[in-house]
Amino acid sequence: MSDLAERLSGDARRGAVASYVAGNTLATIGVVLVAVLVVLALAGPWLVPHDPLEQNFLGASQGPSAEYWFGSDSFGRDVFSRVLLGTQASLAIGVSAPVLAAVFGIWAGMLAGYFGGWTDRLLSRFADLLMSFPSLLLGVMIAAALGPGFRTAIVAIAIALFPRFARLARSATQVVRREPFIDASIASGRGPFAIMARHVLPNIAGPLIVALSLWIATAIRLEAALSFLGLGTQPPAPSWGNMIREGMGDLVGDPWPAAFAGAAITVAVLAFNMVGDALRDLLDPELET
Amino acid sequence: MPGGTDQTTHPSPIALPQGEEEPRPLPALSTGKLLQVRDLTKHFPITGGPAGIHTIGQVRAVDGVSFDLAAAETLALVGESGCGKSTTGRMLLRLTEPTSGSIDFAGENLLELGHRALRRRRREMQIVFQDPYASLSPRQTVEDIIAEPLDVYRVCRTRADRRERVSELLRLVGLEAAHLRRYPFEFSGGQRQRIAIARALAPGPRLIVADEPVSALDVSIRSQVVNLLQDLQDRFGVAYLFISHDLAVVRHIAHRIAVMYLGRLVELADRDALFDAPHHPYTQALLSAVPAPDPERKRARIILHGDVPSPARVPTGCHFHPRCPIAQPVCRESVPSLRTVADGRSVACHFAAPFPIDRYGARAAQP
Amino acid sequence: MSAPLLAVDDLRVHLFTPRGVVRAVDGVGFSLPAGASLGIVGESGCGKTMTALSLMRLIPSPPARIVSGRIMFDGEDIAALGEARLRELRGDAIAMIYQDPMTTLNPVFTVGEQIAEAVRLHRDASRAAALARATEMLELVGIADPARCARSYPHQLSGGMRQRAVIAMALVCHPKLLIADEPTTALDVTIQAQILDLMRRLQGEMATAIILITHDLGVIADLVDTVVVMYAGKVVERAPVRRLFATPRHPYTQGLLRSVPSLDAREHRMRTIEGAVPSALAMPPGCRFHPRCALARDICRREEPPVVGDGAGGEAACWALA
Repeated sequence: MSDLAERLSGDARRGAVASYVAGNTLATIGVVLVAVLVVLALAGPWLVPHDPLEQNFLGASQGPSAEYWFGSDSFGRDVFSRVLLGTQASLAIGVSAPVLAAVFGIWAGMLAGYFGGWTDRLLSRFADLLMSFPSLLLGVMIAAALGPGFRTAIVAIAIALFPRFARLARSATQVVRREPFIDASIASGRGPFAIMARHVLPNIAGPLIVALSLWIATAIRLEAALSFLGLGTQPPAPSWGNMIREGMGDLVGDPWPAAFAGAAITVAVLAFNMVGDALRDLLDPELET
Repeated sequence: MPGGTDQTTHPSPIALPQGEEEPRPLPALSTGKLLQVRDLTKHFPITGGPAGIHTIGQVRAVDGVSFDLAAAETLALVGESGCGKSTTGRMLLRLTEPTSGSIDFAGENLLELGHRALRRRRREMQIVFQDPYASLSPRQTVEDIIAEPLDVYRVCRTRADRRERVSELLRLVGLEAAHLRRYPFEFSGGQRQRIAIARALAPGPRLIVADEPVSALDVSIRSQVVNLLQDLQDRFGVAYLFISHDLAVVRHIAHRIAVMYLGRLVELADRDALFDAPHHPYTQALLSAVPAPDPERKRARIILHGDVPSPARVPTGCHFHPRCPIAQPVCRESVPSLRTVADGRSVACHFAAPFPIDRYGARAAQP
Repeated sequence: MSAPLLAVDDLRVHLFTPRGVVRAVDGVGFSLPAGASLGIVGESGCGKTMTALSLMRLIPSPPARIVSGRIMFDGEDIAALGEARLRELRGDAIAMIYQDPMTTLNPVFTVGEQIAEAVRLHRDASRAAALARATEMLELVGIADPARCARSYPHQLSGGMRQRAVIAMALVCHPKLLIADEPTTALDVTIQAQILDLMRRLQGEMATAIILITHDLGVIADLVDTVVVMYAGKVVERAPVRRLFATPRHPYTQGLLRSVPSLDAREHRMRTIEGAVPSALAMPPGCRFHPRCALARDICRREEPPVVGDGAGGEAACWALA
């Protein structure tokens, strides 16, 4: 009944995780890619061969070459450098928005699942209300209200993802709530909030971590979509989404900015999905080895 | 039989140092009874209708149960599934809130206590659950699990003190101090149940509700755990409400036995008296249904017809009348109350009559 | 003497896990004449369920495998048969009932449909004829309103009725052998009495051979002719039921019988067997019971004990008897 990671202790667990990742090609690729993306996001400004904002009209709209590895866009900016720097925006928003959603959503879900009754009814209706809007539409509405930009993108995506974490946490909490060890803790005199923090949270963490990594992939997509619509990262700062938007103007003549930006989105989403799947194999209690 | 009625000089179980939270000093025990339960009832509403708000019926899980328990005594609560015994046990600790009735613990009505006072009282009443695999938090070490009551009541000043206490408790239940840092999944069912018992014992309770504590264990391990519980009772004077469906196990550990059927008590008697001559027809059927590990025994079995009715649709009058071999029309109309028919024996039946064991336990003639 | 219906010979079933090989069934043998009944008794981890599942080749195939041994059923070796022939036998000549009727019954079909399915798999029958046979069978197992029960879904029936329905499903094709794995463990005592009564009656009426697997010695005492006691994957004792209970010869059997609480016992303390069943991955050398055995000698720790007959149709594997 326990998951693989739980069955092993301490060192054995770390060893098992390592050997699992090493043995599973997709997991390895995913982990490596995510690591690369993180490095690029953090060190981007120092790694770019050209200044991503530097315009060069003479060398505009060129294909990939020795100097411009991914070609240049309509302003003559190096596409490679822009894609690389765009990693920063995408990952920053793509990671912080789900984390924000998780922090609020998991607590809301736990409260609803633990107390039931009116707490549950109110929180669930609220979450249902938020979920009834398509996430992108919700993002657009919030961005329209708050004005476009980096912070808006984070808030919009976080609000869109909040109800999903809440629902997951709620159902997981309801299952754990029924276990006798929770009653044992009540009988020992613990109050409900202490029980939620000490007993419920660690036992629902598995599926939530898996969900987090998968929602990061979604958040990256959503950020790209918001930027594409002009509501996220504002130009001239590069973001994969706004690169596609700018590239739309001359897609036939100069497909490179859009193509490479699109490829970057695909790679990032894929990488986080693979890591999410690997985490599910390791952490999901339902899966028996 | 151990367990007298005057408990004012009883030693405190596991003497603990003064922590930040101390139990209120208790009034002197007037009647000598540790626990007095009167008319305890639990009805669960069945909701229906479009918004799930309307109540269309009641599940009468526990329907007016009354009994007493003395200190250092074991009262067994037996019955089949759906009879309400687990719910009764849970209500004593207010893990489930009763619908009505009273629970007098050491002179104080538990149901009138507010949260803070209840929390202090919780120290004196603990519970051991049936499932040794689900009653220990899988992500905590054994030390943390057992120390939880100690942490809540801030009993130990230092970590070393805490570790020492937990080690002592582990030794008491037959495990080793080396097990402190392990996780529950590393232990067998019997060992986990010992850990659960150590946890229950940690705050020094006067009452432990044992809810089917050995039903999920192997046969040869059951006896180990039952003996452990008895040893702990002899040593620390803790009272048990021992909930079980297994009459044979109960025969060893109980001083008195209460038989429940569909939310009500049907018979309450001293152990030997109940087994020698059960009075209520349900008790008689229950005893005769237990298969004996003895092929020589020819039993005149009382086989009840039909299934146990659901507590959502309780029969009128005596709950047992649809399946009762001696039911009469009056049984359908009027509810028999639990009446004392002899010393230490109460029966809820209009026609209770003793049914001595030799009527159904006769051994085949020996060669 | 005619050949027994079932003869299991040196059956070994191993589980191949990433942490090592678990020898779940390690050299088990017994035989069962037609129409007779056998009980396999033991605690958790002794291999009784694995043995039962092997009889129908239903063991989960990774990670478990029958590594050697023969299972002769009515002249055929089940361990060596092809899947097609096995499917013909399952449900028809050999049937099995499990502990939890809710998992044996499909919640989305009515009980009648499920029993009828068993009929139509093995006999040439129309849907109507199969349903009629199903209803007949439900009546045979003592259900009060068989037509209504046949139309019901599993969740609408009580535990006792579900188990009766499962028994009906198992017996509908008149199998020669019925394997019952803990059939009453999940039931209330009074319902258990009803089901055991039913099984006794049906065994008499239908002359089916029964293998009853349980940890409950009281159930065994009531129902079977011969008992096989298993411990940690091995058979430690086999004897006719009266002999076993009157004079158990293996120390484990003796300990087990002593530790079973009985309604008549007047002792205050229960008798126990010290220690616990060894972990499947760390079996002790020699006799597997030696760490818990009061009679353990040097040789018990080194070599596996021989099987010693007692001249009365029973045998036990113990050095103390050799």
